[in-house]
Amino acid sequence: MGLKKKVEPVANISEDFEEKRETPRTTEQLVSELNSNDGDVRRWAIRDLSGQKAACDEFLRRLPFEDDPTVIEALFSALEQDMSGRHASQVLSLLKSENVQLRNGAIELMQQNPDVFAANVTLLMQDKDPDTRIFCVDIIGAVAHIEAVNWLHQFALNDDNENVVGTALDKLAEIADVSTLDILQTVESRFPSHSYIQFVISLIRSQVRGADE
Amino acid sequence: MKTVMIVDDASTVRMFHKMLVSTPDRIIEEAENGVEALEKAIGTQVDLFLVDVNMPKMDGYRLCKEIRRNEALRAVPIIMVSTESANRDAERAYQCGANYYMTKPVDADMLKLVVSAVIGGGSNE
Repeated sequence: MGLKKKVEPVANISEDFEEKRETPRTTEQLVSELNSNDGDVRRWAIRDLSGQKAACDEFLRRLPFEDDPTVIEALFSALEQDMSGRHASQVLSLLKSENVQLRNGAIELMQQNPDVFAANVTLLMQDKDPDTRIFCVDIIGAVAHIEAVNWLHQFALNDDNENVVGTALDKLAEIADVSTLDILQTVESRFPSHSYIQFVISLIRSQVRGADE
Repeated sequence: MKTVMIVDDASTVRMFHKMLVSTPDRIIEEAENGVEALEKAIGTQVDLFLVDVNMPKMDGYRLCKEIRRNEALRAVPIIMVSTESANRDAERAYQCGANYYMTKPVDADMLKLVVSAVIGGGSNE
């Protein structure tokens, strides 16, 4: 099926919009402009809608359909300011997106909101999709949270997927403490023939012991 | 001497792959993501890219496409390594220009064999 070519040049849409932007727009108009065909109009709508009550909901509604990288960036910047715990499930659903920018944006948002992430980590740990659990581990590796090492221990000890465990060990190699030594033997025995897991376990042991000396 | 560039955001994975593919006749370069890999590769003689799929800034699929678009790099073989085992992910890797697709955990012997088949050498002795 062929797509109809736009009759009106994009430049004209932007010029018209610049004129319109000089007059105040209602929230409804701004929300409608979030779905404009013109990326400039969408970016301005994000800027002008930012901080308003319904902004986050509208931004999160728009994100899965947005394909302009600069608009996606603008949406995530706006969400950084205004996001609350209420929006967590919508942000976390982006971890399942095929779009890398959306996944990475969601990961960064969660890293910047450690308490929101902490409230949802148990749910993520139980997600059926191992890739989502790997992204959860990625967030844990970068989030500044007192429970981070403990969460990684839980992944290493309990997750059945060797790639999830491998990623948890990757992160432990960066933030492990003495308590990690206690779990390594168990993890080692869970994956006795997995060369990468065995490699990282030896690395963590030498790092923690080295740091302890 | 042949140069292998290992691209992965996990330093432990880079260390592991480096340990597997290092030989006296190979130079190993490392990058944390696609952007860094391209920056390092331009102006360097790279003979093989060993690329992870999920990385921040620029993922493996996009890196593959960029390598294939770059006149100086387009002929360099790419091995993609991913945790994603679904056929569609392998298909996507090949569509983006990868020559080989391996799923994690990589079989250490298989990785050594594939690298040797692509760039020659491979004696760890």
